[in-house]
Amino acid sequence: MTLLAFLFACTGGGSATTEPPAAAPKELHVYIWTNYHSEDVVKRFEEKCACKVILDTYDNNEVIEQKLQAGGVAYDIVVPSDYMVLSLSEQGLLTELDEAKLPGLPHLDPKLDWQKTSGAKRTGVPYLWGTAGLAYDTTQVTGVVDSWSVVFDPKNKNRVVLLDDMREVFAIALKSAGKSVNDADEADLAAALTKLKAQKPLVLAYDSSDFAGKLQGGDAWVAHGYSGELASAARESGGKLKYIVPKEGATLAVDNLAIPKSAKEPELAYQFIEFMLDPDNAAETTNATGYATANKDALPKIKPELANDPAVFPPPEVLANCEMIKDLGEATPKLDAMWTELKAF
Amino acid sequence: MTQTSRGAWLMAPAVLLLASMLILPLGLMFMDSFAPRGLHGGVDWPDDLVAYFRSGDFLQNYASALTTTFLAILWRSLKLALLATGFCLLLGYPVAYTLAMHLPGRLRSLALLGIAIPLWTSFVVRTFAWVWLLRGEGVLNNLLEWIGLIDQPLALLYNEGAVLLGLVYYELPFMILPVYASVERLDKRLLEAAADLGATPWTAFWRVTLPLTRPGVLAGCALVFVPAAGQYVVSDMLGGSKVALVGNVVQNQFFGGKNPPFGFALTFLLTAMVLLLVALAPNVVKEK
Repeated sequence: MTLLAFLFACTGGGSATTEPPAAAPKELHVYIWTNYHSEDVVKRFEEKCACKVILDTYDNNEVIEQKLQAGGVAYDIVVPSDYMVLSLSEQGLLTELDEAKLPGLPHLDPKLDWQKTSGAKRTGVPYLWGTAGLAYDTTQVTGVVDSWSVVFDPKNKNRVVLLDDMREVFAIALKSAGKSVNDADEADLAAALTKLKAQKPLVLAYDSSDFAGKLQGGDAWVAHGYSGELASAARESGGKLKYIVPKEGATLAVDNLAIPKSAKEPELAYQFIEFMLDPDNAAETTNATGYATANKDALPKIKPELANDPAVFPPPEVLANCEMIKDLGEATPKLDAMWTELKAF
Repeated sequence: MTQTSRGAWLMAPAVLLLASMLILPLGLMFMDSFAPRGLHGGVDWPDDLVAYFRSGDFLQNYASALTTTFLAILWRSLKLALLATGFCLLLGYPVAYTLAMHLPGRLRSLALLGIAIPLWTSFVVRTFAWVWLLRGEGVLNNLLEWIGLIDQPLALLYNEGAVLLGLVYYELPFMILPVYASVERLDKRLLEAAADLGATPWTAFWRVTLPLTRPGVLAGCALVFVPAAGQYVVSDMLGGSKVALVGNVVQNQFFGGKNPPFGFALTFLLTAMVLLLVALAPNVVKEK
């Protein structure tokens, strides 16, 4: 073979052999939260569908929204939380899913299949879910801890980490007052702000990324954060750290597999969602990530230390007080002004 | 081809680049700073623009920025940026002066390299290193406890002081480099002449070196002050997000706040303040 022919063959421009040129494997672009999938499950999907899965990660719902609004990106699967699915659907950015192509849907826990219960169009398929509760250091915080009151206890001055997220932080104050996390009443929000301003001296930092690290490192005694990370930090700590969902309730987030309208490989995306609905694959995903699955038929296959951990799967009476965050619409700037005020002084 | 037209051709690529990558986006942002927000974020111009402008609602974003809350945050941002500039000058001038005046060639190159090397590493990583140094169970507190100077960890992190430290740390090279350039270019014979005429080294520094290196100092101050006023990563990481700067408020408008037009308005208010200060500062210095 001459050098030229060799180069030509390498570029795929021509074939020196008689085989017909093999089509390049299809690519599925998945935009997903950090630490939110099982490598093995994804690998098996690649083998089954003879395709290549390209994962890209984010740690903030709003980033998906911005990317899809701006256009120019071709993700086939995105994994937004419940409220973001609604917001994206209303903006016409998600494909309305054809349930006939997803025969695995009945595996889902009806209580967590929130779009079905609310009678909305299906644009997302519940994948994993979690709560935003609190974890604490049992060597520093003693006594019974089952309530948000520990966040307001002056004994924990400069030892409390709260999420750097206005909805989650206001949810603490609203839940403590027995209100809904989606309460947009001005007087209720003003009361919540007063409570949070008085609590600010107890705050070590508002942090949405390293909340578990600050607790593990010993700087914080109480950390408000997402169950996935905090519960696994608690399991690894050998009893030093403990994660709870306070009895007043907390926010609950269901993350959903969805197909953007701009997807290049929608059929492959359907296959991916169906593959993830399989109870074995769903159980393996939970076992790998530590996040609870929305798949009820996967529960028996989950490893016992996760299945019996109330931090991952809270008891029904606690779960009854938990709520999903909904978009506040017109009230958002009002809440943002209060959040800025909390941060200003 | 005349000199002027040749000049115009040489400048064309840069002018085009600036126009398309800076002026055009800034213009669009300025326009959108008068728009109402969309329900899900984004910019949502009303259908009846005439009525919208007549009603005066187009000023709402600027009006809602003029609250005590926002002015307090603006004041803190400018105060910290000014303090950072002052500290950078105090720390950076002697370093630049020593480098240019007293170090032999090879050592000088090494020292300049040493100043530049940290800039090759991601700023977030370097800031995280400060978190590890300063946190309650961090290197510095453990060291002080081990020596026996303290028995309770000091709260070194997550306060305004930590944010100021972060700003000074990050901006210092941008002060040293322009000052170094102007000290190095200084005609040393002028200092010899001053000495011959009976000036003490101190007088020579005040009357000759400092005035002649003023352009470098001003450039350094501008290079430090302008980015410091718009910083937001430092206040997130070293301030524990408790010490909000204008940059943090702007950032939130594009995330949880879902109000880009307000974010644009805040940006232009900050830009106006910074431009005003940068424009006035040289005059203030000159009059002195």
